[in-house]
Amino acid sequence: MNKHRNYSQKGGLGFGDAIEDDLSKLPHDITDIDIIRLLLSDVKAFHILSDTSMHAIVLECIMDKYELTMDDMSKTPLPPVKSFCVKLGFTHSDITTRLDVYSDKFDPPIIPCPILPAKARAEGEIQKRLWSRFPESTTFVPDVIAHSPLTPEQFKEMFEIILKKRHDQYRFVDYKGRNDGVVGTPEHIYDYVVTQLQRHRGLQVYVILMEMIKYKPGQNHESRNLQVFQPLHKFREGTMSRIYFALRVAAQLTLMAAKGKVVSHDTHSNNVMGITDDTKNYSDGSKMFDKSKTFVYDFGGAFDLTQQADINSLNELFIELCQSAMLSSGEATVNSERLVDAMQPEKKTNEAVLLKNGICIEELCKFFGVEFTDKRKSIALLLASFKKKLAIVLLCLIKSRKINH
Amino acid sequence: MFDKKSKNKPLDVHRRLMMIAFIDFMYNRTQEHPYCQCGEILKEVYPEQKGSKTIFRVNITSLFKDFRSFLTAFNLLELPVGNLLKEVVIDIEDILSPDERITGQLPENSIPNLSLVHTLGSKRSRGDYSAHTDTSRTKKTHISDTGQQSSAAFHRQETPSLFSRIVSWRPWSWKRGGTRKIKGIRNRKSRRNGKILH
Repeated sequence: MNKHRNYSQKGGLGFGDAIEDDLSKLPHDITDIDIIRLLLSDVKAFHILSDTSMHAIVLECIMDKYELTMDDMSKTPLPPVKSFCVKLGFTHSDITTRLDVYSDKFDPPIIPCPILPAKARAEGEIQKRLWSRFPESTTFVPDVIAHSPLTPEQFKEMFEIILKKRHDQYRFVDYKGRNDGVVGTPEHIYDYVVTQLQRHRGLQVYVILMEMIKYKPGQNHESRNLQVFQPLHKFREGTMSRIYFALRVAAQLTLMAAKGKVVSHDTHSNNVMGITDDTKNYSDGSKMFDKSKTFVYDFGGAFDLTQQADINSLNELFIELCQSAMLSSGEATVNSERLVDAMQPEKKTNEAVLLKNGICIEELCKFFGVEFTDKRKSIALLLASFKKKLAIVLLCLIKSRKINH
Repeated sequence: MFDKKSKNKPLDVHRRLMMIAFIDFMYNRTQEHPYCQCGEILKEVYPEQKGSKTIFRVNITSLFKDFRSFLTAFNLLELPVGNLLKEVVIDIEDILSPDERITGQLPENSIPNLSLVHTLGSKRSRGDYSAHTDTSRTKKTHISDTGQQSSAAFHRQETPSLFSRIVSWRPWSWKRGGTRKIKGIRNRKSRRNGKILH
């Protein structure tokens, strides 16, 4: 597969002979759409791993005749990989567009939350880049096979058979116990996506095909994951305490920023890009994540700090934050109390109350180690410090070394 | 595997984690979400910062649940007491195996411009960065840039708690193909750095 990649990458997922043969028969240059179409055409079964229909739907697809290869640069050859992961999300060039409710029968209503096409593309590219920037044997990010936006026609062509006709092995969420924003069965997912694409001009589905990270404790693994994701595996098995696992993830977050130039703002336990046990997922909407606290990263919307636009966006957010802040700690406290008191009792949720706890320039100055003076001068100093510290985050922790072999 | 110029690896890691948490808070606040999403992880790295606190009658179990509490408890220049950053450093070194060939450093022309490039590229800013990691200032890891030092923190550094001793022991192997003995690793690191890591 490396010849189809933009990034120079050693190891990772590759195509088996059958896939290579079929791709070579195509009369034109191979695109990501071709790869997606081909792999989806061979799907014999699938599982819905995650269905937060407003944001993303994640499937595990199992191929029939095709095989992928996994090379983790170790001496031991790995068995062929028969499954891959599909992530579907909506994109629109104008994310302020008001989209319609999918169906009246869902309460709360389901309205797609599209992201910008560039952001969706960045997600796939970030994963590819991270894969190529870490030693193959320690990469903790799923390798990306292909990613592309799909038109409504392409979506129908590729997913109709899978979602509407090949659903012998799926699990679905009972409507009574479903989480907010979850559509449910594969047929509903298909109808939901197609309906939205037909209703809204410019709305597209973005699909990312990636390595399936799957664990079955006590069984052989079909890919490299046994070693690379050992901490995650042990954590899920219950043989590792949370603290050890958290330290490992903290190390990965640090490296992603320093070496991968990516800062994620969405690293939490409900981001499911891999599952632990077939029987415990998705049987009840309210408990679907309880048994598999996963911290496999979701890079949707992450800040790619090799992109000027993302750096500008962070700087703007910071300026906005500073401008909305009170000057001193005392002022912030008084103002926050006033805002909380003014809230209607029924709207006093924990999150809403904590959001009213405003920050102040004085505390920001202390955090960044900047001299606190008047507001205008302090904001200027803070912005300079923020940019400088962001640059420090991006500085690589390690130096390249000469290797003697 | 850290940059040789880096004299205080835990502080390097601390700064990065703090900026990650800050960005997390900052962005999520714009999405009407008060928490730091990676706080679930970071509260384990800074166990002393856990514990409940009440803000406007809302009970929070970690400082990563509230932006203001986070800002008042941490700062970028000094290490908070009772952190497990040395453990994170070991993990980082473990992830990046010794035979790694990829430098990880982007060519400077591939990094976007503006002040960021200036900061990354200029000698002044690099000097400034290394100044913060000067051993003379950060020898005991809790000495701030102003030279102030918490006696409690100093005591804690000198006599690590039972808790930190326990967590510094890792019974499993992260490494491929064999058991890694922490003691051996420590001795090797101690020889390399010329000092004892507790």
